[in-house]
Amino acid sequence: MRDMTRREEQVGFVTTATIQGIDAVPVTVEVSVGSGLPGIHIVGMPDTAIQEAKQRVRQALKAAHFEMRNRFVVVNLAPGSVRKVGSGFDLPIALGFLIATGQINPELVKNRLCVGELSLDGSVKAIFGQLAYEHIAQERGWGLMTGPTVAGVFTQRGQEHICLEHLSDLRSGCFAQPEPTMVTSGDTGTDYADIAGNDLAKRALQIAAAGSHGLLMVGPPGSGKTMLASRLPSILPPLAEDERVESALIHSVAGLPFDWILQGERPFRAPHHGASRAGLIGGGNPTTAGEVSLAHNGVLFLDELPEFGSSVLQLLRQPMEQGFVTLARASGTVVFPARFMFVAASNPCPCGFYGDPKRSCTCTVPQISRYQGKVGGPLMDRIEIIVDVWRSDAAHVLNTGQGTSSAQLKEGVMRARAFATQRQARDEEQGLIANSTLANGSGAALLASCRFGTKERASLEMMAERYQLSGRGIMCAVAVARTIADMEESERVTSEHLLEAMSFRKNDRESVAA
Amino acid sequence: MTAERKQLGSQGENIACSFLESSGVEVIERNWRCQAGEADVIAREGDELVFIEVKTRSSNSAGFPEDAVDRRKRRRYEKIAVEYLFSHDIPSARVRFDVLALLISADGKAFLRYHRDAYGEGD
Repeated sequence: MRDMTRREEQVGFVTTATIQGIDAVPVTVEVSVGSGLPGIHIVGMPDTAIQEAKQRVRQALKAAHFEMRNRFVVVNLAPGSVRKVGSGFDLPIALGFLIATGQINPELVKNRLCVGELSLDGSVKAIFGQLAYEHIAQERGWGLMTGPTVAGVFTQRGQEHICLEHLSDLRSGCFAQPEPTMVTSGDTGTDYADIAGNDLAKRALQIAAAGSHGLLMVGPPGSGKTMLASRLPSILPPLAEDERVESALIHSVAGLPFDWILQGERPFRAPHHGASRAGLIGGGNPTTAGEVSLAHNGVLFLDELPEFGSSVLQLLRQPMEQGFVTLARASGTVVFPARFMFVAASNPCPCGFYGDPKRSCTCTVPQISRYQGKVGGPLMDRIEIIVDVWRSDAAHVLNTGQGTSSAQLKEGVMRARAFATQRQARDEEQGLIANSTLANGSGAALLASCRFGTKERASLEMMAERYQLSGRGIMCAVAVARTIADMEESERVTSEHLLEAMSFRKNDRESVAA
Repeated sequence: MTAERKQLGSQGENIACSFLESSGVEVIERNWRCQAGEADVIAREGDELVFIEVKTRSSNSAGFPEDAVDRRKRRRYEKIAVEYLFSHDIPSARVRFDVLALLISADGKAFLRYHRDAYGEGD
């Protein structure tokens, strides 16, 4: 019986990665197969999905006709201090086992990042976060081995990428190449021409889009606030190359389609007002991106703003000020990018008809002021443009399709952005301001860029006096005026620009109780 | 345990052993006892040590015989295996767990199902 004692431990090494936030962190899967009591043991901080890999791997290997008898198998996920999540470890564990038992050539996985989920019939499936894996592989100069991808593959320059459709492909050595899915049309399908009338609101949206200002639309139900907001991406400039990668990465990790982002279309997220904290700013276990991050480089639209929980709205402050969210959890701190344009809509009062010329409001004054006070000051401070949206006349509604079109509005946006970039570059050259200080909201730099004459200065002071503007209110108006001037390609901000900007500071001008 | 049932069990084990021998599995021990419990059959096939639970029934009315090998029974077999390996000083031998299910009908016919490599640690 002594001959039964054998020392034959063999180890297979496979490189893979786990998702942390929106990044893929490299992990080495070590599979040791030896004699002893049969069973698979996984160590190295695996989550439940990885523990369940045991059964999937065993059945999949059997289905692909590999030798898979119950053996004493230890799987180690290194580094041991990093928490591993997801079902993408099935494929690397199976590959490690096959290498350790000498059933496939270790060269097959050398310098390749392998990730994929196994089905019981032995077929390989792609998992969420494909882009993040491609990203880290590209960074480290590795090739990729994944399941066949359904969502678009972001073909990186010259990256080697093989798709494993079934585990038995390992035996044949015939691998499919992924189809780079680049859809051609970048058309959002919606157009501002669909909305007849409401030209003031369209103008406000155009200015907001040109200067990335926060915007609030106030109006009765059925006045088209949601329609107006949802068309915003159609007048925003297309995503720049690096913005596409950032936004697509977030969507890929969240398991959402992202091929349209690679076209350059900006994300538009409209969470319902029932959204939880975790849903809005991110969280959960494993920590996933929230709506603010999915809206990164795009638009976050909050319809029925006062209906959102005030504690939830307070959480928006960090992303709105800093452009990212930091989620500190027991499992570690994760940072998600969250730079978005903030757009909100609200009824003027609980019944929705306060200020409507045709229907009378049934709310009491305390009701209205309570409703309007629900959105806290800090958030209102970040909203530079407030615009009333009225219900269109029947004649206007019937003219749908003949309003100012998105193409017309976009022209103004593009013009303003191009001019602003040019102007800022020139100012920087002259040592007047640095772009970064403007982004930080430095008041002095903003004022300098306006090149006010004595006349403008006087009228600004006069308006501030009359409307009792706060310091922040003045700066908001000036910032919007600067954008309006950019749209006209005007070097200087004139009194007309200031006046129009002031008309969007409704909040400072009137209070409801008065 | 009634005498009938005991008799059914040992009859089943006899059938099982003759089946195993005929299919090239060398039976080493029968009813091997230790602290952890009793293993019906311990056998050897190639370089593997095989622990076989033989489950005999006279009807399918209470389910298939192999269904009776539940999680508790599997754990027990694993403990028995460890005891056996250490008592024979072969702690790193390759081990396999099999289940042999027998259905002996009233007319004396026996139906046999042999589950090789039926379970491992952790299932």
